[in-house]
Amino acid sequence: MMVKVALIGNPNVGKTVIFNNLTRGREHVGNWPGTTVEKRVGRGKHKSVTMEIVDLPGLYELTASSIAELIARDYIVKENPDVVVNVVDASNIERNLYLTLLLLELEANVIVALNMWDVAESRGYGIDVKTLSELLGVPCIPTIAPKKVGIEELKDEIVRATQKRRVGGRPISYGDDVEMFIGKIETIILRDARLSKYPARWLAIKALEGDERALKTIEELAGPETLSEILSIVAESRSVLGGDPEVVLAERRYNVIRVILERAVRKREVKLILTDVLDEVFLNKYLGIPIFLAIMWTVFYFVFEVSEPFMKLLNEGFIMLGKLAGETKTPLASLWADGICSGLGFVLQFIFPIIFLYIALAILEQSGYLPRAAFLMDRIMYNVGLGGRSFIPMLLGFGCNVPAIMATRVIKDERDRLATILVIPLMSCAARLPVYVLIAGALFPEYAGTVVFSMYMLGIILAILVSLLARKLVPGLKGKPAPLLLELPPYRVPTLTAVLSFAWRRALVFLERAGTVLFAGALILWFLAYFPWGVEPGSGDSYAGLIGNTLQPIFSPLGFDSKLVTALVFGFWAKEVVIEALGILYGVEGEEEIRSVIAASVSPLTGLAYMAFVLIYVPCIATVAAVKKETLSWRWAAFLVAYQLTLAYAVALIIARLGSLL
Amino acid sequence: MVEKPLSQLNSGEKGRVVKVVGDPLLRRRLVAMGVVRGAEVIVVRRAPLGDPMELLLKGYYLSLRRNEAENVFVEVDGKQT
Amino acid sequence: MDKWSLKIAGSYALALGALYVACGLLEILSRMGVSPFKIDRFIPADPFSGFASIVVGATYLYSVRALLTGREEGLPFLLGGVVLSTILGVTFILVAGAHWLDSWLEGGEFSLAEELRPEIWLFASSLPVAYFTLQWIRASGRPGSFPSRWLK
Repeated sequence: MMVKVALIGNPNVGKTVIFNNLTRGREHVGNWPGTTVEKRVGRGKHKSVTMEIVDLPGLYELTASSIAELIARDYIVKENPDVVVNVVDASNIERNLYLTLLLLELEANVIVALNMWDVAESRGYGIDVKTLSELLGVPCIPTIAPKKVGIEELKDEIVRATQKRRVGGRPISYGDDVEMFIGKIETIILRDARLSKYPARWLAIKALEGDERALKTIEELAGPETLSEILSIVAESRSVLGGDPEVVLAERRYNVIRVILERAVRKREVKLILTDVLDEVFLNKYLGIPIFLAIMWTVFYFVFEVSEPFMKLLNEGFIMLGKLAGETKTPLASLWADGICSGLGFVLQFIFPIIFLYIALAILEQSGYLPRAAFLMDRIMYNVGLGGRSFIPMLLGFGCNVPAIMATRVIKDERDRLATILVIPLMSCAARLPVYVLIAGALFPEYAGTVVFSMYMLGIILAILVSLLARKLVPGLKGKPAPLLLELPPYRVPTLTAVLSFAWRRALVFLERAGTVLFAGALILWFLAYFPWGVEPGSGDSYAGLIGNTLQPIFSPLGFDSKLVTALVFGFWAKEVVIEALGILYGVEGEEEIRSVIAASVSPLTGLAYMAFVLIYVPCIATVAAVKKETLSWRWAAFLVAYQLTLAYAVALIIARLGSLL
Repeated sequence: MVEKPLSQLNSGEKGRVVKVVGDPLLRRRLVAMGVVRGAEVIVVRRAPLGDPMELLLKGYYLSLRRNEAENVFVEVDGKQT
Repeated sequence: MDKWSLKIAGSYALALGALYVACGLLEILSRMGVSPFKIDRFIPADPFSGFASIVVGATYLYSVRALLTGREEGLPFLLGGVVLSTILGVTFILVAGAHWLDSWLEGGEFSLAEELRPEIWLFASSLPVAYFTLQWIRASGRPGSFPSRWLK
């Protein structure tokens, strides 16, 4: 027997750990069709019952105004899972039960997992589970997910619940005045057989609340007359209830919850709450932001220092593998050594910084610090047209744009997220640094540090301008940032397994999606550099060189010669390659040599314009692939490439022109 | 009892929500998060840069921007300010 | 917590905080080439880790005034300092491990003295504070109500 189990709950309630406990790692991660909302499906077995467990997105309510909420709601209404496990933060039970009531309205077969039971106890909540179950009319199981407490009981209850499905009914009353209107609409809905596949009371409540989706469904299935009949009742309710039915209903739900909690929860005096104590320090008026900056620096330091030996190891491994083809230079041997092996090595060496970056990110997220970072930085981010939640992804962009773009999933609002994705590539990633260091070192030996720093600042300033402009002009991004409404959850110690599984999953996603594109790009660039066969690889005679020569006239107003332009073509693959390409083009080896050649043949002004161009034009194909992946459209990826090329050209031109005036 | 927007409360002050006004989408989100009539709200602190503010309500911490908190009216004990 | 434990903790925090700030400043100064001492073997020239150390030190120092007068209000900062000191210390231990791995692979040099940065030994010196704050969390028996009295 196979039963369908859906997991649902507010954000930050430990739902993922419950999911891991129920599935023991047997899971499939994908996206909900047509969205970038992550869909995780896993299997578990308990007492000869196989469970297919679907992890629904974390949410606070079930309206039609957000993608995540629509996904969850449609899944429960249309897929009709056998059991819905509502994971509840027992230490924050009042707000969490709001969603529970909404699920009961949906007539789902609900089991409540009272997770974070230990935190609730430490906060002095004594929850009488039996009374709570009776009052809600559904089983409640206390759990402490990281310690696997209550998981077996939860599984037992899932199996038991599949055997006797709770049938509809009216567990909770919202008061006579409201019930009268719900009843009236319900009668109209029940009259029409075409609406019978929806729970009648739920549809009535949603219609009363003016839910666009529900009203549209009624119109489509039952016709405009039925709809106008219902709408007149809604209009009547507005004057009788003395307010918007939507708000009145929310109030009534919270009233119901208060009554339930008065009977089921005893509050005990508590000594001290660790979260309060820590927030006094971490959100302190003076210490808060310095602490945040120190933590972020530590994250970067950790990621880059620790991943370095692994990257080196991998790179050398692939060079050794490449040598297997022997010394004879044939196109096939070169394909193996310079195309496949160096390409694969290149793709895979990204994986280590990404894994370590995600380990750090998972620790920040699971410890509960991430929302605090958003809280600290929101003021700044709001002023530049984004929200506090955009800060961490943008900061990660200084490491590597690819995981930064993948990390934008923490941003709930779709438009805020898109705007963030578009500006992340302006954050100077680690791969751009060697280019700056080389050119600045060659042309401005006295002020190299200042020049490099000003490149970073230029990126930040442009990001601010682009974001402000995009929020004014670009269709799909126009408007103000979404409301903050940010919950600051209790601090928790992250669990090792949860952190590692998060990092590992993300790394796999990167390999699967960006990896293929990167590898294909590597092969194309290999072809451009080594063909027509027999030319000096990457030289002016190769296809890449020809492209560079052809494009050079476009860049002559900026003062770039054909060698510089050809290197830019290679930089499209990855920015580090620019240096290597310059070396080949100038026919020299070693950084010192390249430096002196550049110092001899490029003017400081051109160098400055070149660095700005390298900063702004498309970071690398991996980033483009990640943007495509995270926006689900080539249109946004193409827009990114187009706007960045234009901007790069414009900025470089300004530098070249202004400089020549001085 | 004095009625004023939540955004005008100082850190440590306590109020009881009287009404939530403003943009329907924002209002819906606010009431779902428990900012409903009768709810008791304590302003815990403001972020180091002055905005947003951190609130304690219904046993959890919620943070709102000033322009969001302006839509929430609360009644506060004590003297007119 | 009795007054004397608080005062002792306060003095320790004062010393620890001052050391953190001093090391942090030296890391920044020696990067700028104006360090008064020739100590680059033990104190690396790294302005960013210097900044992080100063932040940890400042957090410790925040606790000092209240603790020395025997008030518990300083304890949150003591705890915060321990948390930050642990984050920094553990990171540098992991990085030292990575450097060792690197030198083992490449056959390069690995100097334990250089890896034993101030952040690591200051983290070790923070362990007694960690123990003390743990005792505080366990034993703090005075009742309050939610929100706890640490909420201003």
